[in-house]
Amino acid sequence: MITLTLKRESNIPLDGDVITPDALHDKTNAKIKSTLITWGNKKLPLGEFFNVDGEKSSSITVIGNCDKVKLIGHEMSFGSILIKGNAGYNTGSYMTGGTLEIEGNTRDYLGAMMEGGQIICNGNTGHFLGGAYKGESSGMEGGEIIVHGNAGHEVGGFMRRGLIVVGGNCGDFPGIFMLAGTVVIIGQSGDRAGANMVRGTVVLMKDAPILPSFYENSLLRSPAIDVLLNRISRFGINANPGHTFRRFNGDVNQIGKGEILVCTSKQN
Amino acid sequence: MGIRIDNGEVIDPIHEEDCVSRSVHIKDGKIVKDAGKDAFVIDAKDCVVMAGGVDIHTHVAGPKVNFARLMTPEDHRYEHITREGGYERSGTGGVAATTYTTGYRYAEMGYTTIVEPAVPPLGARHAHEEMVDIPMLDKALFVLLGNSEIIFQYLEKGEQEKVKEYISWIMDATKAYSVKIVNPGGTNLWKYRGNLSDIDEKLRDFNVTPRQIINSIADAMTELGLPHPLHLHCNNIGLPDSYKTVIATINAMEGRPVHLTHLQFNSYGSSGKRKFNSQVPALADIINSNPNITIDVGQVVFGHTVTITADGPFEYHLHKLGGQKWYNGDVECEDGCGVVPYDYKRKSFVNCVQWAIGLELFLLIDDPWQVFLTTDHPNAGPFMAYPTIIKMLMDKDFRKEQISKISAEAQLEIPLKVLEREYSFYEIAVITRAGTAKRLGMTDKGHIGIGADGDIAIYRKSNDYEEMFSIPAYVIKDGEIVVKDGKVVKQVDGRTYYVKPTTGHADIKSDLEDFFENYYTININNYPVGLEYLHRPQLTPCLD
Amino acid sequence: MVALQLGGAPAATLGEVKNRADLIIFWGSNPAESHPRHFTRYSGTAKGRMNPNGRKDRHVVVVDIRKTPSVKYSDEFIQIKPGNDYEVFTVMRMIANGHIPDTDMVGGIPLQTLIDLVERCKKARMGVLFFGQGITETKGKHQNSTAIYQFGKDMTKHSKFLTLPMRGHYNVVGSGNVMCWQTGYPFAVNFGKGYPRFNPGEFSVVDLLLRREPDVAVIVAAEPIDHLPYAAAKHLENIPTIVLDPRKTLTTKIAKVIIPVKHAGVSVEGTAYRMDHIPIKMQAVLESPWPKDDIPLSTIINRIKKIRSEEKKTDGGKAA
Repeated sequence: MITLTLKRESNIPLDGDVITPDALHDKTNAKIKSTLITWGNKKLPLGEFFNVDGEKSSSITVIGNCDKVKLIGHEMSFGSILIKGNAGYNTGSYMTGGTLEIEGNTRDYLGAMMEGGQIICNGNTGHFLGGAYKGESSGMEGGEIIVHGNAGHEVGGFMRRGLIVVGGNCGDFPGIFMLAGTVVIIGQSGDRAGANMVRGTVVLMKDAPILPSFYENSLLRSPAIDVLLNRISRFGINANPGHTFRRFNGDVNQIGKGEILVCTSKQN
Repeated sequence: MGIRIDNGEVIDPIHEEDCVSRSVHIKDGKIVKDAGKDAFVIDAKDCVVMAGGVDIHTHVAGPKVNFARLMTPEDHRYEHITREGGYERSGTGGVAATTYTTGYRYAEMGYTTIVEPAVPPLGARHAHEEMVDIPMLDKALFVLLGNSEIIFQYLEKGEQEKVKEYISWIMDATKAYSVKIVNPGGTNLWKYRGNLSDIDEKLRDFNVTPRQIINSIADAMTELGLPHPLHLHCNNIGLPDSYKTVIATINAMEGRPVHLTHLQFNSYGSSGKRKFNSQVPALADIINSNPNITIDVGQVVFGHTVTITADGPFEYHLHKLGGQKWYNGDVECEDGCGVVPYDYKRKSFVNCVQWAIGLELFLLIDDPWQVFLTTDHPNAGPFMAYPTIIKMLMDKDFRKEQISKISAEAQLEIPLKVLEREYSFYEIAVITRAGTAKRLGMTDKGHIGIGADGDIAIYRKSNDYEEMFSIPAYVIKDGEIVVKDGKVVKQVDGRTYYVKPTTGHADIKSDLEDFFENYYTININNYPVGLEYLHRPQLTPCLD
Repeated sequence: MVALQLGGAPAATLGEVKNRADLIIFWGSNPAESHPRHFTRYSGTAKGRMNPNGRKDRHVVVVDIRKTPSVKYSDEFIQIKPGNDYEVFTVMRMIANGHIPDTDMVGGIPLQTLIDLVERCKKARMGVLFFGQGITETKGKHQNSTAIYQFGKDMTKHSKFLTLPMRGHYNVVGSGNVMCWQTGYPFAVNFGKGYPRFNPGEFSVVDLLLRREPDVAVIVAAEPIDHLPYAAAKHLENIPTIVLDPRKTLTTKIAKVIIPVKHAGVSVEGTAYRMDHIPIKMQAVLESPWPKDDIPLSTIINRIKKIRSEEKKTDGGKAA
């Protein structure tokens, strides 16, 4: 177990892309301390910002308010990271495996371009959760992201595979340009869910306005959704199975093969 | 201080030197007889010494290239250069790389001169501003005139003298080196969402056909004595049976000199099971018997790229096929442009046939002085693939291995599979520097004779031609060592070549003033690009 | 800009609009006040090749949330409820793509009005949609522009149709172009790691200032105090702010260092890019005692380089 305790908070952000099991798992304590980390436009030893305990482990705990530490878990492929506190931008971006848990809040682009593994955020997160960086034609390609709190706009934009669950509310455009995969919003979703989605599923557990480019075609009680909701409730999110959903198909301005499921029963 | 290169094998096709062991002396930026006693000596044992590479067709600057950069942040994200890495300026890569990255990458392959072949006159100021930021290379640009409404107006009235006068004026106003025509007439019709399918089809707003446009501009260019003849991107590019358009165009030219650019995109037939096949054998026959014609290939490279062309309708066609991003930018009174990212896939039958067609053009056109190496960067692939292409030309076993990797269906149909020809170093030197420099009329380039520019590439001999041509031992630009072991060691700035033809046989001043007043949105006085926009401007004289 | 990166756009230079467009739509844009010469030079009354009679040859539509002064120059005014542009464009795309929306009213506009508008676009020789900040700065932001570009692409299946942003501020296109060819990105570029990185929202000015990340600011020919949100602008007061500007502005008031420079395009010649990306040569018309703005900047850079190399020598190369 490697424990990194933030000892120096600064307004200038740190690029924490070296805080991954991939980069640290084979390093001695001294080596970890001397690993260079980008601070603003300088590269300084990690030991200047963190107290480092432990060595040679694929499980990392980061303690402190890391709101200004970006890119923790960037491109991680195995092991685990636990952040006891907040995390900054791009946490878990391009992650391909392992688990990443954040006890506090994160900023935008949590799990952006993710390819595999699991991210659990116990607080709130920002915009572009599991999103695609600007210009990319496909975003999240696999893995799962569970957010217990609220999320911002464009959850799961350009998503191609995987699962995103938002336990709280989310902003506008969840599932925009989605190519496939599943987005579940337990709380209140913003407007324009599934805009331009090609395939994939957006599940809204509370009623929200749906764009005219989706046609409502049936009422649905699906065992598959129940299995999914059961699985979600195991993360401690209040997602009871057994509901009936209104099923919308669209976006007809694309090929119209996506679906939005809106829960009909009032909850809680 | 001068430089002397000893013990190397000099390959200089312009002087018919094939692996001649001799010293090369460079002083004050030029090849000289004797660089003096204090010259810095490079030991080029086991190396070939060639002139710096000359790329006749590569889209690296100008408004549409910049749109391609703008539209592909996803490409820049994964590749970059830094000052820490030894470069003077940082930048990002990808297919549409930034200006500095472009300059460094070319130099690191042994290239010292490039031509940006498609700049609409209104974008010339922009292109020149960008070219100032492309280091390491000498540059020139071709101006697009194939859809110029001013020329159409003169053609309608049959005023060839005025066409000539206008070309002379516009070349000076844009500080261009030569003229390129892209889809003559077709891009104009695209302004109504149309296109042309035949070189004798009339335009909508003008009583003019592509045949007239091509011949008139070609004649005017010959009479003006431009060092490079008409640079032509034919109609119907990228479509099955486009080879028929090429043949019709060649016939229509009636023996006028012409450079057909990225011919690979125009060598398609419509037979075979998939209604798409190679027509290179037919085209190669014609080219072999017409020494006035040169071509560059536009070799497809498998992988991701972004297509950029002034052929607006073609880009829309491509966008509809694949549903990628699409940018269209018509330019008032002059031309258009389109940008579409594209992936060439080994699994795709059509892409594989396209790939094979490029190689067939290299191998079936007998005279290397008529066929030049390009990928129409970045339309068919990035220029960084040149060393791989060279290896495919020089090493038939490697080529066969590559053929075995493409779509099985395509393997059966392509004429490439029976071709056994292998290029020699001498021939490679022709298609990458000597031939292109000669066709461009750049007499200081592409050779190592006394008086030539001191642009030299030294490659370590190896059986792996790809490695050999991607990591030159030394590259010398204007008499300075700029690259060592495939890595930039010094940043230098190149010249910009331009041509200033003179006529004076016709008065077009009042015509132009009227035209600008009525149809343009900028003032004629603000239109010409002054020499202050060019870095180290280099006037190239016209032919007599 | 971001919308362009997401999907591209059908565009053209303004001369094409002048010469060929017979249908002009201003959406969330009020050229009568924001771009007063646009209407007469390019879009409304300008005479061109296929529009010899100027205004008479064109149909002008204004779509806005209120009757702006531009409405009186138009043939048709469509009033839209604020914040509903995305929905309206979704429906217009559906109509263009041959779908029938299951609604009578979108964003306060009757469906039939939109059907008529799309039909008019289809029949146009060349239709042009100009959109302004009324749509790019409201709910949906860059996704609104994306929807417009997508509408343009869908319309291109039927007829020539262009979608053009009404860019504001002098030479904002020029700075975008130069950034793009030097770094690959048009704005929000971070050089912290020694190479350009791009992420709007993370590296864009407002967000950086709101998070109070910069510890020094160099401002060239811009007016952040006037244009940025108060909380963001406030941070500039707390850090060393260096301003290069020929005029007294709100920003120079809070600056720690002011370097007066020549006014580009007034006292020093140069190139500015028009909103349709055409570079225009600017002549110097007034004398000015100040230096060109690149002179102080390159002096500063060269000085930093010198200090850095001296540091390296004394530190034996340890300093980053």
